[in-house]
Amino acid sequence: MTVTVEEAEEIAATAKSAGTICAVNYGYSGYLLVREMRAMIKRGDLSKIRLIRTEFVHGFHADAADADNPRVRWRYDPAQAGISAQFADCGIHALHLASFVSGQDAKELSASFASVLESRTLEDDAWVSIRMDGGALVRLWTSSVAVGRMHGFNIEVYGERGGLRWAQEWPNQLFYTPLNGRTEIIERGSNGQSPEAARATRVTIGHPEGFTTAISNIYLDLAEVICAKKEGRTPSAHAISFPTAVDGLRSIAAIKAAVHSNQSGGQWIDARPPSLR
Amino acid sequence: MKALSWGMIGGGEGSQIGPAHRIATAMDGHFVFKAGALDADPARGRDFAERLGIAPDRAYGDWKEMLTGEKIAPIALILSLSPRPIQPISKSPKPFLKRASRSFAKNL
Repeated sequence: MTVTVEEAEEIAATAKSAGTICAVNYGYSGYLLVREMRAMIKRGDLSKIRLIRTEFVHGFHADAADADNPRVRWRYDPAQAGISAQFADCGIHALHLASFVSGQDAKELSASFASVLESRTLEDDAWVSIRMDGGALVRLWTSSVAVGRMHGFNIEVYGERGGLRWAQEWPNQLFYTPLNGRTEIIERGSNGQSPEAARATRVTIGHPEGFTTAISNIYLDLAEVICAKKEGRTPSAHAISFPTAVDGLRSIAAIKAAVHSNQSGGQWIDARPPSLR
Repeated sequence: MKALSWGMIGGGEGSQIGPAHRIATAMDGHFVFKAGALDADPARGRDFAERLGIAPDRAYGDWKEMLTGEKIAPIALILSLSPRPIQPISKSPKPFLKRASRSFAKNL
């Protein structure tokens, strides 16, 4: 959303005082089965969340010959990209999704960054552990040098009563395992899905939906909220899960904390923005 | 529900994520793509906008031009795709937000 926490605070405050909707397109949160994960966790299917493992890895910045490629180079140049590259670019989507599905926000974190390609000032690989305010521990890996990985964005949530697994490259199936039970594959569009997930689909079961449909669910919700405002009515309760400037602000604060943690040898650092401590 | 107009800042030709947003906003018929300041190069931006069906008077050279111009035409959604939406155009996000807020306040 921004490069500095101060700018992000300003955007969140301006949006609030103007009464304007300021959404931030964390588009992966629009996937139907991600919304289903969130609904299942909210209604207590997993009971208390203990651990979340998430990764967002690709291998498209692994070629050392790209040191002079302007489409790649700027991302690792602090003058153009700010204080973080890979964690700010991809890792933050993983952290947002962990927060979105668990309903918990980052409280403190410990980070280890690496510039695997020596030509880079900013990191192309990062491991980050995050303690959430609801007690969950998030283990996050993000990398741009994982040759062979395409858009490897996965999330696994483990609670006291069960586990859930979902992968962005195979977004139409969600794996659910109750404690001591058998693993169930929940297909997108199958019976019994929560209302906030059920509204976020357009084609019948078995026909794949994907990335653009997930983003369109953010716009579907925005259209409902904008029109409700115009028409002077209350928007559908199932259309209000899109991320806002506050989510963006939390992300920028987490990026700053991760940079500081890495610089101080992995020390645990408060990940919250000043206005939300 | 009448379709809402929307405009995009960034997402020029060759953009990684621009097409996904154009497809996604069009999917349910709630939004119609009406305005854009699509490229850091004003001429390229205007040219690409027109090829995407934007009227010439709503194909803008930069975001300031767009937010000023859009005061006279209703627009409900502005999408900023640039990884650094504000700088180096301006030192602070305030001018962008103030203009965007005013534009919204007038049209909502």
